[in-house]
Amino acid sequence: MIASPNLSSVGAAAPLFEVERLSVAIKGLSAVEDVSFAINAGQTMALVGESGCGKSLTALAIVGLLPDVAERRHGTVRLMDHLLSELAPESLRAMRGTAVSMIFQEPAASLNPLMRVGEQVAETLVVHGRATRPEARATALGLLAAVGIPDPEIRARQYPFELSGGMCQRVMIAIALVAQPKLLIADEPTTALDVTIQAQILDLLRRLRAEHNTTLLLITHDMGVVSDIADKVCVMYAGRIVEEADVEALFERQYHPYTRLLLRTIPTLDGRRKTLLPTIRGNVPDLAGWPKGCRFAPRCPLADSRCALDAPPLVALDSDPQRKSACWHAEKVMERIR
Amino acid sequence: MTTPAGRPARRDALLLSVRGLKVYFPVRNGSLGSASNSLRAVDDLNFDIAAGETLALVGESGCGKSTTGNAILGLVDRTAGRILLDGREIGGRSREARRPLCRDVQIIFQDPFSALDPRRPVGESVGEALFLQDGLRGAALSRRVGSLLEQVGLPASGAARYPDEFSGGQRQRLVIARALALEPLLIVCDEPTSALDVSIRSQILNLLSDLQERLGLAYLFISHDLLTVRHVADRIAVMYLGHIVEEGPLEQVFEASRHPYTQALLSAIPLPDPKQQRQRRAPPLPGDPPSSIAPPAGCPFVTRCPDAEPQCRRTPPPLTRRADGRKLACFVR
Ligand SMILES: Nc1ncnc2c1ncn2[C@@H]1O[C@H](COP(=O)(O)OP(=O)(O)OP(=O)(O)O)[C@@H](O)[C@H]1O
Ligand SMILES: Nc1ncnc2c1ncn2[C@@H]1O[C@H](COP(=O)(O)OP(=O)(O)O)[C@@H](O)[C@H]1O
Ligand code: SF4
Ligand SMILES: [Mg+2]
Ligand SMILES: [Mg+2]
Repeated sequence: MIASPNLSSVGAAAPLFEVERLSVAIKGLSAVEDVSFAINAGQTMALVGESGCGKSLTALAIVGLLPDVAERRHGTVRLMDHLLSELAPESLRAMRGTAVSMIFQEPAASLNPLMRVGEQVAETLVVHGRATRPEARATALGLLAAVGIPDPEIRARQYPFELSGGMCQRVMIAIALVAQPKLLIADEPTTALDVTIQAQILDLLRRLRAEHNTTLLLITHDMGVVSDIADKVCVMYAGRIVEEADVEALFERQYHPYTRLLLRTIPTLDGRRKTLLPTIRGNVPDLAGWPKGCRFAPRCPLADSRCALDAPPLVALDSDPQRKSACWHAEKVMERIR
Repeated sequence: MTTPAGRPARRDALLLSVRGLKVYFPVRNGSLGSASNSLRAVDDLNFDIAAGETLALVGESGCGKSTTGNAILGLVDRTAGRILLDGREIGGRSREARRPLCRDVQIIFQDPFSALDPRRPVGESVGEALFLQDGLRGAALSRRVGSLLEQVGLPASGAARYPDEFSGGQRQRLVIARALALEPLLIVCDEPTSALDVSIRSQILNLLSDLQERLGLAYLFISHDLLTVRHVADRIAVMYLGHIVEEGPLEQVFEASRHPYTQALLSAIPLPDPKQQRQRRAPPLPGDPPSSIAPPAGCPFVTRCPDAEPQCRRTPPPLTRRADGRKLACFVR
C-alpha cells in the first residue's frame, strides 16, 4: 500500500477520480488552465479537443510525466483516497504501475524496439510482482491472447517493428493492464490506426470496462470515437474546458458556441452531400497568442464586449444543472447558431 | 469558365484513364522468405476520371492510394500500365509526354508545413511555375500571384510574407493557390485536410468545392476520412492491398455496398452521434491487412473475409462491371 495523505472529506459517493483546477505552464506560458473534472468508477470520460489545446499535457500532469519544459502550476489530482498531486516522485511512479496506467498515441514508439514484445509484457509482470520469472512467460502469453493478439506464441517472440500498429497498441494495452489499474488513461489510442483496426481497439477497451470495471479517461479529437465509447465528455479549447456533459446530452444540445460549431462542421452519414459545410472563422490560436477574456471570442459569432474582456468560468447552468458551460451566452447558443 | 484552346471544356467528358497500373517497389532482403522480392504497392489498377468530377480513393494505410496519385504525377516510376490524359499518354520519357504533367495535373499533399520553402516569400513559391513555365515577370507576375491568392481567400498583399507567418489552414490555401497557377485540369488531393485542425477543415473543403465549381477542376481525392469523402465525392473507388475492390457512384456504394471489405470499412466508421453509433455498431472485422510483399494467392481480402469460398483462395477475382453499374471484384457477391 502506498502512503498518501488521508482525505477525510472523501465519502462513499465521491467519484473515483477527480482533477481540480489543474494548471500547466510551458516556459512560463499557460498551456492548461484551471482544468477540473471528475470520473465515477467504471465510467469513460472523453477529453476532446483540437491539436494543441492541452489534452496531452493534462494527462501527463495527472500521471507526473510532464516534459522538462512544462511545469504544474497548481491543481489537485485525486484517485480513490490517494492525492496523486501531493505524492513524491517515487510514490507516484509506484502508483503508475498499480492504480493508474497510461497508453499513448504512437504504440510502436512507446515499446522498447530492442526487446521481444512477450518479454516486455513478462518484464512488467515481474516488476509489479504479478508473477515470478518462471511464471511470467505463460502469464504474458495469456495477456496477449486476452487483448486479442492472434498466435500469441509466435507474436511474443517478435520485435515491435514486426507487428502492425494495431498489434503494438494491443501489446501496450496488455502492458497497461498488468497491474489491473483502476484508472486507464488512453491518449489518442486509435489516432494512428485505420478505422477497422480502431474499431477492434475500441471494442477491446469496451470489453475491459465490462469485465474489470476499469475507469477510462480517453483523449481524442474525434467526435465519432467520443460517440462510440464515452459516457461523459469534456470539450477543451485553448487550454480550458469549455463544456462538460453526458455524451448523449452533449450531442443533443450544446451550450458552448465552439462545441455547437464544431459538431456542425463535421460531415455526417445522412447529411446533404456536396453542400458548403458550416465553417468556424479564423484560426486556432497558439500558446503565445491566447486571447484575453474568452479564448473563443475572436471566432465566436455570439461574442460581445464582455466576452473580449472577462473569461467566462465553467459553471453549471441555472436552467439545466446537469450541464456545464464556460460561456456568457450559454443559454442562447442553440437559438443563435443554427 | 475559361478554357484555353485545345482543352476539354465539357464536363463529364473523359479526362484521365488509368490502365493496368502497377507500381512495385524492390525489397532488399526477402525476410519473409517468399519467392517474391518486390512490394506490390499498386497492382493492376484501372479507373477513369471525367472532367469536373471528384473520384475518391479510399482504403487503409499502405493500400496504395498515395502511390497511385504519385504515379499519375510521375513522382514514382511505374512498373507497368498506361496513364492517358485527355487521350494522350502522359508521364512517358519524352519531353512531349511529360509536358502535360507540369501543367494539367497538379498535386496537393497532406502536410502544408513542409510544402512551402520557409526561406522564400510565399508569393515566390506560388508564382514559381508561372515564372519557370510561362516566363511571367515583374508586374504581370505579381498581378497573377495576387489574383491566385485572392482566389483562395487570402489577401494579395500576403505574397510578401513568409510561410511561418501563416497558420496551417492558410498554408494549405497557399499550396492550393500554387497548384492552380497553371490552370490544371486535374488535382490529386492527397489527404488535403488530415493535418489541419478539425475546426479549419470545412473551410478548406469548401474552398476545394468552390474552385471545382468555378474552374471545372477534376479531383482525385485521397482520404481515409469516409464521412468527408461522402460529402465531397461523386464516385468512390475502394482499395485493398494495391487493388480496387469496389468502385461506383458515391450514393450507390455508401447506401448499398456489396464488397465485404467495403461493408466492413463503412460499418467501422464511428458516427459523430452517440445514439446512431450505439445502434449501428457491428462486431469489428478481425485481423490485419496482409503484407504487400507476400499477398495472398487469391483474393487480396481472403484472409479476413467472412464469406470466403475455396475459389477465393485460388485466383484473384477480376474487377467486373455489374448489372447495377458498379464495379466489383468478388466471386461471392
Ligand atoms: N518509395 C517507396 N519505396 C518502397 N516502398 C514504398 C514506397 N512508397 C510506398 N511504398 C509502400 O507501398 C505501399 C503503399 O503505400 P502508399 O503510400 O501508396 O499507401 P497509402 O494508401 O497512401 O497509405 P496511407 O493511408 O498510410 O497514406 C506501402 O506498403 C508502402 O510502404
Ligand atoms: N514538450 C513540449 N515542449 C514545448 N511545447 C509543448 C510541449 N508539449 C506540449 N507543448 C505545447 O503545449 C500545448 C498543448 O500541448 P498538448 O497538451 O500536447 O496538446 P494536445 O494533446 O491537446 O494536442 C501546445 O501548444 C504544445 O505545442
Ligand atoms: S463567452 Fe462570449 S465569446 Fe466566449 S463562447 Fe460565449 S459568447 Fe462566445
Ligand atoms: Mg496530444
Ligand atoms: Mg498516403
